[in-house]
Amino acid sequence: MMDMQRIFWKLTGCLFLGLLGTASVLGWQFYHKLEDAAVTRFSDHRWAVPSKVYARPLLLYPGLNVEEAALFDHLARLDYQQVEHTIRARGDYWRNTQSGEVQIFLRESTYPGQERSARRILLSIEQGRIERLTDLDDETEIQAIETEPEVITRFYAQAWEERRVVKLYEVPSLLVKAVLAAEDHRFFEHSGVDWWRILGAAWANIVGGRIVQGGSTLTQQLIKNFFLSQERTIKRKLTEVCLALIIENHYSKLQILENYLNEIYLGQRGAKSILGIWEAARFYFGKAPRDLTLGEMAIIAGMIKAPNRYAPNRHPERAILRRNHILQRMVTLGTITEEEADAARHEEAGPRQMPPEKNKAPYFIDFIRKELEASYPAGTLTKAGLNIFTVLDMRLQQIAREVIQTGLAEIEEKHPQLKREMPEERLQACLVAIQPQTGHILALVGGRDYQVSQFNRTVQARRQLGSIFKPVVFLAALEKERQQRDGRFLPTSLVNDAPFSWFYEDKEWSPRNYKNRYRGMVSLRKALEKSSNAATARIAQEVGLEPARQMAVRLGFTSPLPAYPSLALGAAEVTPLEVAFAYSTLANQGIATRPETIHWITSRTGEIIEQHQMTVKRRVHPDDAYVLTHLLEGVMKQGTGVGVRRRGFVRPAAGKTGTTNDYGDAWFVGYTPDLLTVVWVGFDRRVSLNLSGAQAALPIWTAFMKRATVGMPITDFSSPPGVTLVAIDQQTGLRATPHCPNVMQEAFPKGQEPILSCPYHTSGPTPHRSPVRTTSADRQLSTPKLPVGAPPVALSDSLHPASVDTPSPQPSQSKPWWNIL
Amino acid sequence: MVEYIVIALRRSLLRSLLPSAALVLACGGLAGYAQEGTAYNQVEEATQQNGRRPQYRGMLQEHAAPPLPDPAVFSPQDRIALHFVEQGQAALRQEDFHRARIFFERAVNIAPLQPYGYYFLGRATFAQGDAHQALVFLLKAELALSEENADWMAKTKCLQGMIHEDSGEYEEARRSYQRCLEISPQSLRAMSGLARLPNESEP
Repeated sequence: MMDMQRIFWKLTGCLFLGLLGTASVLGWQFYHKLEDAAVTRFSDHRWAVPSKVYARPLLLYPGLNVEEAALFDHLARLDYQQVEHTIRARGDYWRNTQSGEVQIFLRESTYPGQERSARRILLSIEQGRIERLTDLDDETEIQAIETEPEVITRFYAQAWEERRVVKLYEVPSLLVKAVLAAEDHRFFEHSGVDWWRILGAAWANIVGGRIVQGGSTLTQQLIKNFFLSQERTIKRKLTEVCLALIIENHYSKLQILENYLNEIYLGQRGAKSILGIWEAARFYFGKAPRDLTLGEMAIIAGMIKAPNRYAPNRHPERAILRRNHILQRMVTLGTITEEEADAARHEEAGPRQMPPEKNKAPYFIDFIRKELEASYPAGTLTKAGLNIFTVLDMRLQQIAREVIQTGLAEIEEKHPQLKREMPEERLQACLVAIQPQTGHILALVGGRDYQVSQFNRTVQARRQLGSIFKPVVFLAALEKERQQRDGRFLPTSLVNDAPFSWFYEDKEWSPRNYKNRYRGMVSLRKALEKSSNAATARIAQEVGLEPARQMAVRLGFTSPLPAYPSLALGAAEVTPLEVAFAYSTLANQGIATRPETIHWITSRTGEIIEQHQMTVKRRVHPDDAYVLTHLLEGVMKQGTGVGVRRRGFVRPAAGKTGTTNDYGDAWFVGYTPDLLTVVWVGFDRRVSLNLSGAQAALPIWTAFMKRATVGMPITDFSSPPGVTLVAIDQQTGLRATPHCPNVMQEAFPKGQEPILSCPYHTSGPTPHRSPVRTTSADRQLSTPKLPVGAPPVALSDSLHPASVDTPSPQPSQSKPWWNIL
Repeated sequence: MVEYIVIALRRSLLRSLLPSAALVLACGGLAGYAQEGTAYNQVEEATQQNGRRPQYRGMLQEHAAPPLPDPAVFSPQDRIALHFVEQGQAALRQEDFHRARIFFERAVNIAPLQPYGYYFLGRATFAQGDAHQALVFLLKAELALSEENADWMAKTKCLQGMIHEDSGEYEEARRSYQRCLEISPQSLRAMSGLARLPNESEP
């Protein structure tokens, strides 16, 4: 019996020892896991270098038109300092107001492929134009020089925003004392966990019957910020305590405090967190921490407890009460005197003017961030210190931001019914500008106010295309014409702009024109210029839906395009960026370039990691692209886009307005030979605007293009060898005689231009004679009027007897002579 | 006592090792990227050293481009673009095609309607072994060239002919050479190219 008992106790003892051993091993492993995580996370923060994102550098050269204000603004953004008389140090510039010369001491630049040492240069500017560029060191003239690229933003962990890590010595001691007074006045005495404070807080909570006080030290708060959720559970608290002890064991108090001051959560700015005292000081007071007053320091310290509850911009009264409490506590702890506290209590703490968003291209940055996240491991962008050189043009970006703001304000002023009280519900707009030849995205604004809405409408909003899809249908028609060469889809070919029905899959679809206005027989040109729904639908019916859809895909639309007849009128939802890419192929003579946002990525030491080179693909025949561009030029001269000219944009340009059926989307897309811009205006909730694209989007487009193209050479679209420009009579579509009153240049594929001359204006004065103008630049195109009795033989009518059009009287000739090619 | 020593040793080891480990990891990450870059270069080198290249490299060197026009007659943008084209030409002469492309792309970026950047991009991409891209660049050059610029048009057509020939697209090569001869009947390169092409009846 005794033996049995002994064996039992021995076994029990062994089991206990075994369990104890296992528990020890597991506990040891758990401890080390925590220790590793804590130390690594802490170390990470200490040596991580955020990646920088740069805009394209500014190239200076003789002949460049520069707005002096814009130049100095650019230099200021690069942290250049204006000095008097002499530039002595890198980063100085001096403007001689008498001679108009500007001296700049350029810093060294490490733009990939164009490394440059620091040098002093002299810009001789006369009447807003650089006349001469001189190297002051060797007194030689230079052809061109670049400023160093401007940093748009840096990629930090947690929030992709502009932040600065402050060193402890940069933080005023009073601010540190205020934080300690507010959160953990025994910070330098405990070892990570303040047991007395925990007991005190527990007692206060028991007495209060609810959680009224916390016992977390700064270290615990930092741990919570780094690793843990905000849930209040025993498990989380125990983990927090363990981690706090580990961190205190590994790092000095000053290191922990410095981390805390840079990491602590201090409120919200839109979707982004405000982290650290530098950012809080900048956001709430527009100052650096060293410039804060005592009252402001107390406000920031007081906010730590509940940042959004005590935010001075949202709840100034609460912020003042909390500030006064902190000041009193500092007096109690002996860190300030009663007089100092009194003076601070009299400081104003009302709503502050929000500092402007420093990042001038937040939507663009979001866009490239997503691109980069797809190809780089998590954390690389925030830690590896990469240099990301983008193709963004800061001048155009700034213009884009401004025209969106002013354009929307003007719309709301003219149409007060479009005003909304709630910032999230206000009218929105977006803009993308692309250089068609390179695919470089030069400017991108995804919405009205990034701080209110981070939804990037250029790439995230799928909106109905409306009439801006029509050129795709016309392009498919022009391609068919080039293949078949039967004269059915030339700019002068006729199409019936009249109500009709399209039967498909046992359904009937009847496109209607804007305001139910129909023009009868019109040329293809007129149909596009006036954005006729009925005529476009007829063309789509004849060309075929699938070829039109395939054309859209070739141009670069990637969103699903339904194969329904209504697609011809833009019944498909795409992003504005897709529209930009598709049209840029047209602008680039049928050649698609891969869209680019990033040019280079280099490592922290300057080694090139990635370089994006131009990639081109031939998508559309250059002849078709040119003929369509020529038609779209007409949209601006005498079509729905005529407002562009009325508003003073006179450069050669082609474009198209777009309005959806429900007036929920207003578009304008247009291009000069070297710059393409798309503008969309609408409500996020797809509420009707009751405005057309010409009314809402066109003014913004025009305002942008007028400013963006200042100083650029004026160039026309060059016609490819396969296209001939012929002066035609607008009434008949035949070659113009010197007596034709309305003449215009029309683009025809070579060999398909009209042979016959206009028979109506052969000699002598005509009844409605007007001077014949043979240049296309400023010609006005009147509505074509067919000669009396002329047969409007339209391609669609002849093929679709179901058409409801009333045929006009037939001519005596057996062949329609005005359409002989 | 022993336990204390062990703990102290472990702590000091960890303290010294952890930052080093972190540093090693970081360096490893960067080295990875650098390696990617190196790998990219290797692929490129391999592409450049493929079997076909020596055939057309010699042709390209013989196929000298006409002199660039006098920059004085151009707009400031065009002038500065020509400056980059010249720099690209220098890189091209040194057979640094990658660097040459950087300059030519810069020229296109500054003056996108000027043909010279596209022409040389065509040459550089062809030299790098990408005939398809080269032909598209040359098409852009052709579209941007005015009719008066006969020398450059002839050179462009001739280069197109060479690329088509190199790609085995003899009909296209023939058309390009013929067009070149229409513009510049004395073009020896186009004549020899035509003579070299197999007869139309040949398979």
